[in-house]
Amino acid sequence: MSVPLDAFLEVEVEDGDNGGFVVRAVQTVNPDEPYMRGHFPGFAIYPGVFLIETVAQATAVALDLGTGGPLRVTGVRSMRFLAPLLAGDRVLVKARVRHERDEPGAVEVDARCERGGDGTRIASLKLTMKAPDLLHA
Amino acid sequence: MHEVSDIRGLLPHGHPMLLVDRVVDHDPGRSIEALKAITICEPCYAGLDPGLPADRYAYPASLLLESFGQAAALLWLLSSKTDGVDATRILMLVAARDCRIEGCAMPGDVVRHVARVDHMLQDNVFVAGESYVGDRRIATVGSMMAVLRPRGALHGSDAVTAGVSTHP
Repeated sequence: MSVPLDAFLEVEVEDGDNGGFVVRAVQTVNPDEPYMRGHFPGFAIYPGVFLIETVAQATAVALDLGTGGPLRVTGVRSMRFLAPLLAGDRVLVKARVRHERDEPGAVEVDARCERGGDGTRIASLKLTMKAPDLLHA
Repeated sequence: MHEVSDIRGLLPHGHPMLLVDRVVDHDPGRSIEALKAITICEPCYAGLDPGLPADRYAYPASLLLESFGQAAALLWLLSSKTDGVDATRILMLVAARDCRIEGCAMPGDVVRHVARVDHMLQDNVFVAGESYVGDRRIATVGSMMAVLRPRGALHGSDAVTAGVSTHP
């Protein structure tokens, strides 16, 4: 699938409480990424919307569908950006992933992002993702 | 109508993260209609192997929402010029809710964003709107909240040199 950047470096997944999964991912802000050069010229800030990419790509890989697969974001139920991520910053993502009961093939992803090193809360995102072939766990 | 030369004078975003090509209409302080053309030349398509099915070329949802957010920012910035409000402040996206991706844009499509100001509270602006390809709605933004900050706020919570220009 087309993506603006490879948005995570590492990902782990474990079973969550009450079913579902917990996905943990790490990303580093690289000012030399193609889109980063424009955000902003001379001063890099990780776009808030790229945290959608970090969460979504890590979730797709964690669910073993790969970023080449059809799992895609169908909704942003909410997102809040609390602090900026600058060049060289690490961001740690913890996302709870649950199958949506009423919509086959859809998952709810509830993610919190914090800056590596000082634990500053960076963002919280609640996404919906869907893949036609995604089966219930 | 505002072409990219005007847009580049208003938004601090640089290539290839400037995601609005043209403003076709705007009602100052109320609404804006802006276009973004999708092309295979964009960096997001650089890594795709040949032979993939068509659906892999859907424009990323993250960039679609960013493009919408920039259209909303332009609404504010154009209105600021008209009203004489301090245009050295910029809009920073801080939150959104109830956004739905209902379809997709492909290379060759032109996305049309329609953004409306819902209300403003001090330095916070709430916008809503939709994105279309032709008559087909591909996204809905229930609410997007942006705050006005001095351009120096781009440099994060730790203020860097105040004289750094964002328009080299």
